[in-house]
Amino acid sequence: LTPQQFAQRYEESRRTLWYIAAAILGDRTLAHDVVQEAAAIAMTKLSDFDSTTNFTAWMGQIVRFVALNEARGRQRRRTTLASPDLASGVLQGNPHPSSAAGSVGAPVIGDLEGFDDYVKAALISLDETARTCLVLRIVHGMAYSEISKALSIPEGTAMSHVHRSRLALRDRLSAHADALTDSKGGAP
Amino acid sequence: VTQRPSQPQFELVAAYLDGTLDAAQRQAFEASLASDPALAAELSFQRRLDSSLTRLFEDGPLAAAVAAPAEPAVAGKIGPAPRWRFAWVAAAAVLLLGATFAVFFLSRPTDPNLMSPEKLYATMQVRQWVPEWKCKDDQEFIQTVQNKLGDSILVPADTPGLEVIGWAYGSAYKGYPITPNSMILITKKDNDHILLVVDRARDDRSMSVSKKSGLHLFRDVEGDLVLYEITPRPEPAVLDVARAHKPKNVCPTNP
Repeated sequence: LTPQQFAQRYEESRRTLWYIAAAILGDRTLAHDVVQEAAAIAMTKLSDFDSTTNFTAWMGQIVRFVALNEARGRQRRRTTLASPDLASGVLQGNPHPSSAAGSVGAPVIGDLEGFDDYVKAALISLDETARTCLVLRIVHGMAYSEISKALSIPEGTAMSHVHRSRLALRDRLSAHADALTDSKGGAP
Repeated sequence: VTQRPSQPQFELVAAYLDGTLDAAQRQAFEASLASDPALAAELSFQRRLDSSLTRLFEDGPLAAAVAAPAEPAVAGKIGPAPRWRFAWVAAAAVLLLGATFAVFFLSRPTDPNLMSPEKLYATMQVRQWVPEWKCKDDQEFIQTVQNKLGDSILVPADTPGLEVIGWAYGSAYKGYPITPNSMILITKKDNDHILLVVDRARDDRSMSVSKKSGLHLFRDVEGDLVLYEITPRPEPAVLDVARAHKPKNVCPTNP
């Protein structure tokens, strides 16, 4: 793979890579940095790329590796909400969910309130692969076949992750339905 | 919405939103919404969930509000008990001292912000080669370099076959190739983007690129400046231009 070919393929898969990083980290700013870091790593390994394989899958692996390292690093650096009881207490509706969202080291997306805060908190409970599948499918609108290639997992597994994630979020959020209905976001 | 939906209801709504129902199933589902408030509520709820996910992860311009990670609000409630805290601090101090001695005695100190040529190239690529500054003419080009580095070069804007895109500054990123003063000229020849790193020769450091990267690195010294060309091309293109147009009689800004 030449740098020119890398540049072209990178541009084609950039958004997908960004979504993978954002789903793992729950942080838009960091996602950009992680994708950039992954591109720098990939640039030093261009000859390792097998041109018969999927470029997004290759880059996606590097992005996931860098993102997971970053996520672990952040958890080490920051004081975390270590107690599962406290975490579940937040999800049961006692403290404001935005506190939990920031403290477990995942979503830190600004000042969104109400429903979005509960969704952020609920997302933390998902496995990172499941969260990535969900984001790629629902937000990025990727076909399951594309998700399968990008994450190097079987198509059925991607479908299963999305389905189970949706159900898990539904279960967690349904406990707060009254609060959600009264929240600033209002019903759609 | 306060009741958890039945499993078939959930499956049906999820399949509807996921686009996996066939036309007949879709039609039947939509018809049943009018007579089944619970199903309609479930659909509304899941649509709201999808909208929320989209809002949370949409890839738009980064607002200042989302740039800084939130600090945990309950940090004071958790953490190790006080008697252990001292032990942790002591252990950390010992480790820190050990690491300091190891770094001091066993290795040359390196600047953690130094950026390899490959990383610099990748960074510019990720940023889609957008410059931070573009000089309006050659005179401004010369003066810009002079002001920042005390000596100057020129890569004329009208160089045949070479597009001078503009300047990026080393200090603007999470690292720099030589020093925070490094200036990075972004150029393009044919379809190849080429970077020219310019800094003071006295601050020069050893740089190289890995063969695996497919990039090439060329070095030159012009007056008080050191120039590195980072390029995917096997021959330098920008260094030759800079060498041929070395400006003379540049007035320093701060004589």
